Amino acid sequence: MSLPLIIGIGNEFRCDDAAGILIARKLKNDFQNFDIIEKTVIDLNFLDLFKTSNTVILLDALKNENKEPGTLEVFVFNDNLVLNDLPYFSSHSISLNEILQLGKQLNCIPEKLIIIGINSINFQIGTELSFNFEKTYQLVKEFIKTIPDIF
Amino acid sequence: MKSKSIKVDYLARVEGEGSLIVNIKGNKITDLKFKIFEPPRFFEAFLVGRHFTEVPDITARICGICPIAYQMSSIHAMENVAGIKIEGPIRDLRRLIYCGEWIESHVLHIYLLHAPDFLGYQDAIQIAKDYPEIVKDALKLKKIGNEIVNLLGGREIHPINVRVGGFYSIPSKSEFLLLLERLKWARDAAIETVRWTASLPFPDFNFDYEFVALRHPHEYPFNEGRLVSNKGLDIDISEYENYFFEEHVAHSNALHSVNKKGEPYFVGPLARFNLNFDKLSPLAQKISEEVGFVPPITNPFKSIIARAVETVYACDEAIRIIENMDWNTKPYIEFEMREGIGYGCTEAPRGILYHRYKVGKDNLIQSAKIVPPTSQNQKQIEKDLYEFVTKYINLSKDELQWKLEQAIRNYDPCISCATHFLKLDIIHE
Repeated sequence: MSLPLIIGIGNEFRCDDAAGILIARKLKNDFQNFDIIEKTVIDLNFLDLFKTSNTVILLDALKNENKEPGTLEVFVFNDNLVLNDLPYFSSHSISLNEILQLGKQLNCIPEKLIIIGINSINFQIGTELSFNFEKTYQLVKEFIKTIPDIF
Repeated sequence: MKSKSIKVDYLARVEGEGSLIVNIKGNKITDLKFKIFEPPRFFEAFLVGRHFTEVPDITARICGICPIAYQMSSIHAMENVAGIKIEGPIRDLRRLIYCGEWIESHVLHIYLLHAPDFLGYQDAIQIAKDYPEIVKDALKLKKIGNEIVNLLGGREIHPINVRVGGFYSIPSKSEFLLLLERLKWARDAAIETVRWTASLPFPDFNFDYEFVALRHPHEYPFNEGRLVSNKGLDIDISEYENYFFEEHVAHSNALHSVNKKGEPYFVGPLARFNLNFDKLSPLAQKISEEVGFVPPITNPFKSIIARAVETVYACDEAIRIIENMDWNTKPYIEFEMREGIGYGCTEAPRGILYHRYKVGKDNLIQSAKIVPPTSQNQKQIEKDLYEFVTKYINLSKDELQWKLEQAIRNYDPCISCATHFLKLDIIHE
């Protein structure tokens, strides 16, 4: 049985956009029983990655100026999730909405798919985060521990 | 006088951002502008002062779809400065990595960007809903192109294994051989793609274009050749700037290229196909003839078939290279750089990509000029749009808008390269 897969998405040189990738990197120390990878962009290869595990967790910065930076928005992919209503996630070349819609049509969505959006405001060039990394990291870590209970 | 207006905020399925404005008064076009408003990216300026060995990796960052083209044009220019010519297995591997880029770029454009126009779908997601197997096979085919680039380039996007003089390292024979069976499947899938694209409905739209492409005496062009056209041009690439000129127009942040007469010209798969049909592999020629797609093709909407034929060729060529490769080769050759000016011109998926660099005694870049295919096609795109509106001015507002967007995609414009697309305004006054 394949291990659960965590995909951290982001660009380390665009401030808050790095959130997904930085948190995924640190999770490697705390979750030995997960496959954890980093991706700088969302691309069509995600459809192949979705086939490698029954459980996939996507970690990405969520551009959202109405929420406190560093807090989380969690979406569980299911038939009731209206993809067009997902908020805009990042500036990667193919949007998460598009890849999920395509995956849905091609029957490539894993049995369990969770999207953790990290509320972010600053996507300028740089390496500073507009939130307390440790605090957000703990939120993500604690949430992942609860995942077996939400399915 | 008839009055109507059409406005589309952003045109999807093109690489980058830009806009198109069409003003029509009665039966006359009063204004038509293909605008590229993405800010300039200043690559030519910030290459100045960098070491010549850095140029392939810097220029690869211009485009996520065709980084190999930028690497190939720049390394050939640097080798031109150094006075060296790469032959043998390294030359073949450069063709192989270019095959990978053509496969991934062409298949992406055929199925995900352009096919929806012909089939009446808003996007590939809608096609996937009705024809999931077609989209699955398309993604599988595209992936093989990505795998070639990944294997030989070190990674799929902005590869890092290409260097002036060759490659930093060459993967093992066994890794390439793993690709062979998949490439044979890909070649069959590409043949079916030719049949499928040839069955699409095409508008009646033919013009007397000047097609410009590289031509090589022995092969379908990737990296080398003379610049030729169907209007008699036959020049060494070092003469490019004597025959083609860039002009600034107020409505575009990308320069427009014109020929000596100030006229537009046409680069890309259709130009290559028309000028190099005899150099395609026998299999690619055979499938073209089978579907009745033989030069001269003067309908730009049929560029989608040319892309499919070139995908067959790229698979065929990749198989040939892998099966005949001499694996006992050093990945690069040693050379001494020298002061001077060098030229490189290679066939990016979207057409010729010209580079010229001046390198100083200190091996640093003193000046750089880069002319991407989309900026060369820009003026021709505008002309096509003008002619299309003129011919089909009585089409309904929605139908005209749909066809104009489709006409732009004939060229698979990469606005990221030319400086991104597209906001569309059509105003019938």
